[in-house]
Amino acid sequence: MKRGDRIMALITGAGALMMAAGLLMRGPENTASARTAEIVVGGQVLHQIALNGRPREIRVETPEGFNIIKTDGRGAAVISADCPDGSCIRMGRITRPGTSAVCLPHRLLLRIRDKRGNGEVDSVTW
Amino acid sequence: MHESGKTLNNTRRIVLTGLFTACAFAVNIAESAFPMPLPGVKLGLANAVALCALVLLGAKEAFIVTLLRVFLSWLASGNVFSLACSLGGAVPAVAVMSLLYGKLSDDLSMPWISVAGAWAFNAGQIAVVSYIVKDLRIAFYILPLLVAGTAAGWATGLLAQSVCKKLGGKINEDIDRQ
Repeated sequence: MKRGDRIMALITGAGALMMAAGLLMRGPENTASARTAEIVVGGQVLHQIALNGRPREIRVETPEGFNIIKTDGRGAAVISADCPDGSCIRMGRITRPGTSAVCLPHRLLLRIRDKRGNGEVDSVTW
Repeated sequence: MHESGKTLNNTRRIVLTGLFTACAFAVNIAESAFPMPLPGVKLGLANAVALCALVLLGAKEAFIVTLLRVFLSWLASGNVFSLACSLGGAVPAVAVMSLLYGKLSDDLSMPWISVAGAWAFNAGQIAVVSYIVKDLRIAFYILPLLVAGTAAGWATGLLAQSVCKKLGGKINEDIDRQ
């Protein structure tokens, strides 16, 4: 192993430890508090939907194509889109405040916020 | 090492650069057919081809291969935001790998150079994505990306290393470096 390799391995190990610590310190999933799903296209908030248990489906037309978003008491998910990569659908249902699903070709962002209006910075889906 | 004139040498470089580009484009298309658990996570085989081009041909050729590959993929997808996203990942990755290979190739072996490139790829891509959707909190998504990027970068770096050995000799000799 070369000298630089050891340094890189050290950086990787330290990063892995920090992430593991962050994962352990992450609180339990809190779905009881009032959360909202926000649909943002190109930086503009188009819809704000309270996640109060009533399932809803919303079709959003962007200049580049459409996305269909489904919300219910547990979270929100992009269930259909005509973008070429479909990564917003693969993101699945997002539930935690601060997490989001992105449809990059359409510049569409679906994000969860809690009542305070801010997502907790600690919440990241893996 | 050959007696060939400069013209032939240049032709050889152009042909090899074209071959690497075609190869990078092909693996790029092929790997996009594989479903990945999280969006943005991928193996990055095209980056392995760029790393091979960097070692076997040179930094300029690595940039050419990467830029041509990104624009060819853009023809396939046709979305300007996807293009920005690919450029935002691929260009920093090649820049970092060129710099590290140029300055520190005695100290760093190829898998780790590839890992550093993967990190640059993740960071650049997440920056472009959060700029496009105008939401900084997307940046936290870099954590899972880095985990996957480290593993994928290591694997593709190892692959690139063995390819370079097969093509270029026992000590990663250049097949055609100026």
